[in-house]
Amino acid sequence: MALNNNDQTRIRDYLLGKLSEDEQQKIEERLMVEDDLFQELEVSKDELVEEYYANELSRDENQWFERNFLASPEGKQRYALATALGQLGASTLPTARPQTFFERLQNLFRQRSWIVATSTAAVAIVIVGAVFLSRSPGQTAIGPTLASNIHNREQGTLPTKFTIPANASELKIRLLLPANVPPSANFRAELDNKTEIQSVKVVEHDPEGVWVQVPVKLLPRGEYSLKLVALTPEGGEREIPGDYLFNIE
Amino acid sequence: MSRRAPPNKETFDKLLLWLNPDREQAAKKYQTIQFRLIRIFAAKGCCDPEDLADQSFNVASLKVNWLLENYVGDPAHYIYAIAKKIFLEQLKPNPVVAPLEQPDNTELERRSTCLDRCLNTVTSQDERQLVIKYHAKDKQEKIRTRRKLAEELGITMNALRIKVCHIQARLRPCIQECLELLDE
Repeated sequence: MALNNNDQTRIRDYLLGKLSEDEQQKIEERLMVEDDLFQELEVSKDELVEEYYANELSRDENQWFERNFLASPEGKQRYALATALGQLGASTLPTARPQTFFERLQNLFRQRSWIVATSTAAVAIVIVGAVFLSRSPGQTAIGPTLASNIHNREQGTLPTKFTIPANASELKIRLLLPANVPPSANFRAELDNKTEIQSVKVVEHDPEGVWVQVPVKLLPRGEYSLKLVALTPEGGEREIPGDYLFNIE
Repeated sequence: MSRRAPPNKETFDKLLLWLNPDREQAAKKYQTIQFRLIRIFAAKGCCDPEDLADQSFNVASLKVNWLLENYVGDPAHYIYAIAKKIFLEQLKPNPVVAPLEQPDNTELERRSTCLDRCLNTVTSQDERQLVIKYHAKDKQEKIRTRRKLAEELGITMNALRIKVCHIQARLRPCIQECLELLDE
């Protein structure tokens, strides 16, 4: 059955505890068998969590929603997403500090070029200024020099531990090369955090090693491995055996 | 832990038969009913809606012979009625619920990191841009921005809401998993 004009409001009222017992039961019976209405429930949950986080609900609505849907595991999961998404609209941040805003702008500038492309020139100037300001305290820290675990396994070496300095925004790590890598090779590198693999920037290399630069935001406390691939002038790829392991503390 | 024992294989097969004579359709129906019960009872603040859904099927299994012979109507309604009774049984009169804590800046950063990661892993580039645009503005601008976004995509506002909801449904478990990994 297609949704009628009242259904959106009814579902919202249902989630905010504004329906009588009978009305609740009727809507729940429909939810069990009507796909469109159930879809509306799912959409409305997201929207109400968003409104809750942005303090857009009335006091009573807020309290009811918190004591019911948000008390469920599903509600908490949706709330976690809403808080993360809420940062995309900077003014919804309840405890925003200037650095975070600039960091957000910096991220937008770096990763989401489409936003910048659609901004006006004036806004672009503000963003560039913000990025400049936010970059100044963030520095590139020199991290550990790592050897592939293929080469240090015999010595029983544990992953190198490293603490990132508080003001660092990038970490530069040197990866030692095995002897048989052609001197003309270029390189690409990947960071594995056990959840996903992401490309990281190779900034320079010499016959003995490769420098990679990793944004600190990709390195919360935990265990990581870097994988290095040599790119030959003929267009081929050759994986450097083993992994470069390290722990961020 | 379920208070009602799960059915044995024979009874479970009968339950599926009651849901639909076609076993594949029956399995789909089972999953749909289970999923909707979980979502409805989460909306009511149930702290373990999965268990409630399981118990509801277990109770229905006890009556499956009668149901096969006598029940007329959509099985979803019958199982919902059982679920509602079980929910009322376990409902506490004045549950004490701790207020939801506002995440501090460190926690917001963690969630933001996970959002970035999950946007990169479980969404396509178009979906990623859509979610970012959809949430990019605050209260005053939000409605106007979303309307414009729907126009650009050539879809209705409602279709846009549903589209974003589907993408966010994929992001949620990813973010939860990411946050748990960061906790380790």
